[in-house]
Amino acid sequence: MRISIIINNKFPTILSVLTLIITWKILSEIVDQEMILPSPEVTCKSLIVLLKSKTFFKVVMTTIGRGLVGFFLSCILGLIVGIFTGVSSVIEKIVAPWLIIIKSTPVMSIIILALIWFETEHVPIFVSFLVAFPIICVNVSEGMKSVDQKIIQMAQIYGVKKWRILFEIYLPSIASFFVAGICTAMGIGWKAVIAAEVLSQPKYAIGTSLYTSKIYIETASVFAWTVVAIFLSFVFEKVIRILEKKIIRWRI
Amino acid sequence: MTLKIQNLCKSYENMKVFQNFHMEISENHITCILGPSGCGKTTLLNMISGIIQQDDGTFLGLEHKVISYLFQEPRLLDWKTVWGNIEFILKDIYQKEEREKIISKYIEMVGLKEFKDYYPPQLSGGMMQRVSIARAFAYPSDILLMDEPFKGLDIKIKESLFYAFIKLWNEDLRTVIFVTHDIEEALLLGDHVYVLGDIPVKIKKCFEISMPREKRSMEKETLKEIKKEIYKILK
Repeated sequence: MRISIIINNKFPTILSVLTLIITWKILSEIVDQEMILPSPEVTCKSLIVLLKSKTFFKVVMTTIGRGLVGFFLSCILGLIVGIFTGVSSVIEKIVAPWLIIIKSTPVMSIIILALIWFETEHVPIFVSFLVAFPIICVNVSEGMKSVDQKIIQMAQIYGVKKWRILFEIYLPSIASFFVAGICTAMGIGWKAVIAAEVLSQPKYAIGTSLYTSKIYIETASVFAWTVVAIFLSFVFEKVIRILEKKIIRWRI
Repeated sequence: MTLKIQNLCKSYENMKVFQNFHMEISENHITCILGPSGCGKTTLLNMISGIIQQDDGTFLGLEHKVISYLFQEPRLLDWKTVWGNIEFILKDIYQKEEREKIISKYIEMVGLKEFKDYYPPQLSGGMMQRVSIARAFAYPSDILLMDEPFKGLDIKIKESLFYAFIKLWNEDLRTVIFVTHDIEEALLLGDHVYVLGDIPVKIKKCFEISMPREKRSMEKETLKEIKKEIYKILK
């Protein structure tokens, strides 16, 4: 019974992935040039070679590390600024133009400017920070505004201290907004981090490896690294969703 | 002892809701305030609790009194369990050991002992209102304000909440000001029933009900008579 439910639930997804791989295979057969469109098997072989290489783990971990440092900084700052903008409309008006500028600046401009300003190692960190910060900040701010004022009123009547109202009502209320912000920010953020690595060329990085593969016209390797990048993004979204379930236990 | 509301004035955009309004509330009794929707009942409670400020007038005997409030909605924190919701308002008042005794006592009195680790979204509407009743009584208040806490609940749930409420009230005979538009609720619970009407608000009539609460039912002739009279006043 249970297995059949799982199969029924997963079936459309499995079918969709299979269709994608089959279409890819057919297209690669039609194009018939490995250099332009390698087939799924060739990509798979290339991926195995990558996985076996000595530097693979280091390359992936360094990219993850850079991305996470940027995300972490944007989470902390986004949370603080978001809370203040949610509480005060004056602060919101002061912060708004900054957020609009950051959000509207093309990621490539940010990367190029970061290349001028920082060491290559720090460019992806700066980029992931700037991409994630406005998203998290706006989400937290919206979360603050959505806090039920009737609950706040209840706490005030019962004489609950202000700092406890902040930590025990406001923060749990914005938790789901915060997590949604992190998920969106990470989805866009990993792409920006890898783009920044392609341009800044740190020694160990998925972006650098992608660029190197391109130079040597190893298209299968470009595909393999892309698969790694997709997988990375997928894993982090899953991890956050699991954390969300653990933290937001009260939801049915 | 009585609490006295004197010369109360409150206006909203040139509409005088209260104009030199007077009312007396007996301590350690249940005073019901009955009136049609929009007659200023909730505004009165909000002024007593300090949520909103009156334009003029005084609340004699209310100074330094601690207030708890039973709202129309349970107003629980979804992310805290039944236990956690009551603990939330007692944390600044009692040490851990005493707090735990009080919470256990009130959760048991409203019949939610088995549900103490449940979160509000896992409870029914009636159960959530029980938690809020337990919370209001667990808080060491002198006065309990109630703003139609039984509104919108079905008869059976309402009856069980009445029972839970009376059981808790009998423990310490707290001063209760209970606002409702339901005549039967007022007659079954109140020692005094004020019937309000008009704008600016006036006391149309005040009834004193001396029949013991446990013996009251809407089948009793005395209550039936009062109900008819109130119905006429409100019509």
